[in-house]
Amino acid sequence: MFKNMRNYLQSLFLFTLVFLTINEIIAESQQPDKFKEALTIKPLSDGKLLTHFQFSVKHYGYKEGVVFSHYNFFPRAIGQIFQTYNVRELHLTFTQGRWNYEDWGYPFVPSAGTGVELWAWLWKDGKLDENWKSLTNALAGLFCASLNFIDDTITVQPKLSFRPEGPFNETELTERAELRYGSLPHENVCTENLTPWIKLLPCKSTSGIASLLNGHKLYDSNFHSMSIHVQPSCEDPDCINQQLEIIQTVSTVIDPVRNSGKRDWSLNKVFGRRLSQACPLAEESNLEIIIPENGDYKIIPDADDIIQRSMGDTVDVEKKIAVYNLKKIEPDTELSMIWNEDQFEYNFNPVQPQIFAHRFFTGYGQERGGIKVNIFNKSPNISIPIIYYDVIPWYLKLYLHTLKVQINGKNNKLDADNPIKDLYFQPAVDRSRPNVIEAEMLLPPNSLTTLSIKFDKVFLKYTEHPPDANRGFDIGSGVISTGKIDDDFLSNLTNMSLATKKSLVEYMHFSIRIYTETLLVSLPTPDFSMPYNVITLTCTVIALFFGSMFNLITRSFVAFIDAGEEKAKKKIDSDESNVQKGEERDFDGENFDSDKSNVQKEEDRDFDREKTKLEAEKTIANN
Amino acid sequence: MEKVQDFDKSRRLIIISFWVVILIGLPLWWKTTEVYRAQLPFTEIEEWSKWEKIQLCQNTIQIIMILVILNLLVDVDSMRTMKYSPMYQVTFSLMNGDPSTLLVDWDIKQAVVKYLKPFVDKISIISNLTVDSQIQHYSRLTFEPQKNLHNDKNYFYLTPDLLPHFINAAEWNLASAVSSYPTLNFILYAPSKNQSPLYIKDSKENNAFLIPRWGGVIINNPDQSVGTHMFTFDELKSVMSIFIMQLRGLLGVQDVWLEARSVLDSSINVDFMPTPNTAITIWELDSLVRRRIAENIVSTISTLKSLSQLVAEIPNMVVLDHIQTEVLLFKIIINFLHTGQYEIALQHAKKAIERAESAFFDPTMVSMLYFPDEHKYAIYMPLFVPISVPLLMALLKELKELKELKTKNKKKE
Repeated sequence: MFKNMRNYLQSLFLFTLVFLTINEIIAESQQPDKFKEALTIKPLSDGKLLTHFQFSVKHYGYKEGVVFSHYNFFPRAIGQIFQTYNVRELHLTFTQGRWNYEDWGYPFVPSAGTGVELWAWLWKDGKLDENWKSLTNALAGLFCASLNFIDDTITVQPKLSFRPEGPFNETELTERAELRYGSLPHENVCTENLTPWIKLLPCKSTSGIASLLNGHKLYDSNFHSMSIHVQPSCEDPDCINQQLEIIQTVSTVIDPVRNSGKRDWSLNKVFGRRLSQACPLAEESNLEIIIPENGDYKIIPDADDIIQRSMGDTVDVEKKIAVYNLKKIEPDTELSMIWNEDQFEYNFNPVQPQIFAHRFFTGYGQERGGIKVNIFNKSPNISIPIIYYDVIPWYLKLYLHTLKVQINGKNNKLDADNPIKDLYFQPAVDRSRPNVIEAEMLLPPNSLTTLSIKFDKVFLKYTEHPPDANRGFDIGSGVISTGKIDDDFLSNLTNMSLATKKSLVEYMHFSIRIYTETLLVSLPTPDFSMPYNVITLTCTVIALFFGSMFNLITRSFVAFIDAGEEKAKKKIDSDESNVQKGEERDFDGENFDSDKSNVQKEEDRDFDREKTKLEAEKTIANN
Repeated sequence: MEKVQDFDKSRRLIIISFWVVILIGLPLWWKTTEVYRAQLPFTEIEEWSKWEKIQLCQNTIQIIMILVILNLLVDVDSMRTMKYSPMYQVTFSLMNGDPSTLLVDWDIKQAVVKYLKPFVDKISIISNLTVDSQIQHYSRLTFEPQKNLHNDKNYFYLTPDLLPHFINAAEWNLASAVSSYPTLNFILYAPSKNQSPLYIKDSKENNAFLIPRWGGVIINNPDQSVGTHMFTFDELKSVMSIFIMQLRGLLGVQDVWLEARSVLDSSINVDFMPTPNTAITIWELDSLVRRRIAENIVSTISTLKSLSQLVAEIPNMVVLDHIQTEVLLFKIIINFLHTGQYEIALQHAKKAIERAESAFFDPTMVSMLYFPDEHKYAIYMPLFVPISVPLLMALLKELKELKELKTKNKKKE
């Protein structure tokens, strides 16, 4: 029996050994890339329609530091850029329009600041700043956008916001990687940026939901945002095998009420195209419609499946979703939603999200002004921690001593009730780096918190003005980061008040970002025609002055004597002698008369002489 | 009369003093407004471009150089070969015409390691090759191939005149996003079901063709009935052998075997020694090294000559200091070539051409666009013309008077 036992144990040992090696071999051998695509449609409370495309490719067998160069679904262009510039995580978003938080809630993808926003975590390898610069240039070339304008005067290193969205270890992260953030609020988005973005997808725009992306409809919407996110991800909680994931999303908000007065929509009306067939390379290809809670409507055709899923708001609420599997759908199916009402009636009491904010300028004139941010906390009894982050360009000089906080209109002294728990401030250096404010704040429940700060406007150099100088300069959005309010968070909050001063960032995962509006500031603008005016005026004055001076010192004015004058001179002498002679003789009337006439003639001659003299001078001067 | 004479003298003095100030100020202004131009050794560059001056110990290299200069090496080989670069990016792309009917995949990683790596290692002394691969789906052709019937089965074919239009560069993602070095693209094309099977007319065995100075294409017709096709390691052997042959042609490796055979007398008995399996023989590599050295030296010298001509022709261009250092380094490199050791010579020749190209294509080497001549005239004319007119007239008048005075004096005498 003992022998049997030993045999049994031996075979068991061998079997486990073989099993483990096989497992290892399987783990080593490359799992193929996985591609998933989904289109989510959500009717919003004010009659508009949110459509959200999401494409994600997961590349297995990704190891830090090991270069992979054989690509399948994962786009080669992004892989090359990612590895050449030693990037850990990359997020690039192109947005136009303003996301209306009060009416629409939170977007599916957090980044909603107008213009281009690029932020990345880069590994420290000694040339991190060079890598960042090359990264912006390479992405500018790939997406036909002027991302190369993100230079030192715009790049910022946030301290609290923009934590990695993939899995990370805080201490390891601070040692080995650094964050860089840059945004261009004035950048326009158009089909030129969409086309290279679509080329990165495995099925391009030939099949699948990407075939619905029509530039004409996409750029005719209230809000549209196109983004690309590359980040490591883990499938198991211990994160033994990492994968590299690329997520490409397009979100648009369209207004069907604008055209017809009713909320009805169909795929053809919204996108101008029909679904042809699912992408054969996709593992999952779904169309989801988030079912509105109340209202009389009908969705044609019937859904394949109805599931429940939480949506990622600050409040954890699950919503019902109708799912259509596009792999099984008939080609050219028309999907539509019809509301049973004559005309859409606007809902004047929408369900507002918990946190939203507005930012605006205060003051007047070309010398100074102020910025004010109103942050609303609509939660009735929970104090919500947030991180407020704002980058103000260097040409507005912020004064930190004018930073004021008001809660519900009342000024706040620096005491225990001060909502600002931690403040990072980077003052600007002219033409070198921007102002950065990062404030960790705890918003009291059901309150309006106002942050305000004053600034001076800088007088720019003549060549620093853009060609359309009187338009002004754009200031990028302020970003409020907050997290999901759930039991975990509430317990963390109580822990935080007990523990010594530890940063919120280490407790919470700030996954929700709220963007304020971008602002337009007009700086004192010079008159650009002045150089021409100065040149012509001063040259004229100097030329006239020089001309007159030169003439005066080099011209001489000479008396001009001609033949007629000579005779007249002789005549005068003879007359004088005649007169003397006349006086010696007796006074004769005839002589007197003749003398008189002589005198008259003399006067005439004098006058003539003067005249000829003047004329002579004139001719000399003209020569 | 004396007063007049005094006045004349002072007037002459005034006019002369104005003109003296102008004559002194003019060169001063010219000097202070010229652009910064570092000095380049123009005379030396001129000397080098007279080829006889370069004395090299190795006559073979000299002969090749002369042949290159005189363009006697313009033949099919040189038209096919890529311009020299110290690094090349080699990309293998598997193009699938229609994934809805056929899904493809290939074991390219193993194939590259087993078949290509020995060649890449051997040729790394001349140029470094970086290899990557991708799979592109929905890769359509820009035209419809012609249809024909054979044994009751339809087949499609491409005539040779359609081959240059085969590459659909707009839709196929072939460009590299990061590399600024030249790319060699090798494409394995699997046509879609409604264009399958696809052949090249009159191609004997392989369904492949080479695009000079760009890369190569192989058309493979996998079995469409199954729905997926995996190009296994063994299948890729024949594919990779064609690709390597095309790669050799593109890099300039000449077939010594055939040339040697044709030149030698048939009575001489030749034994060919087996070479290691690296797709390039030692003899071929050696001849390639010599050719590249010669070509590099010739292109470096011609680049430097163009550089000096450019700098001389555009007076309004800033020549920064680092351009000067690049050119001066070349002098040092030329001195090294006199030693005659191939490997070192090749390394130095590589460095020389890199430096010359970087100096020539430096972004600062453009004429100053924001100081065009018209602007200079517009700024200086409103001031100097109204000032110069009275000065000139006064000077001319003085000279005329002097002449008259001289003739008067002569008359008196």
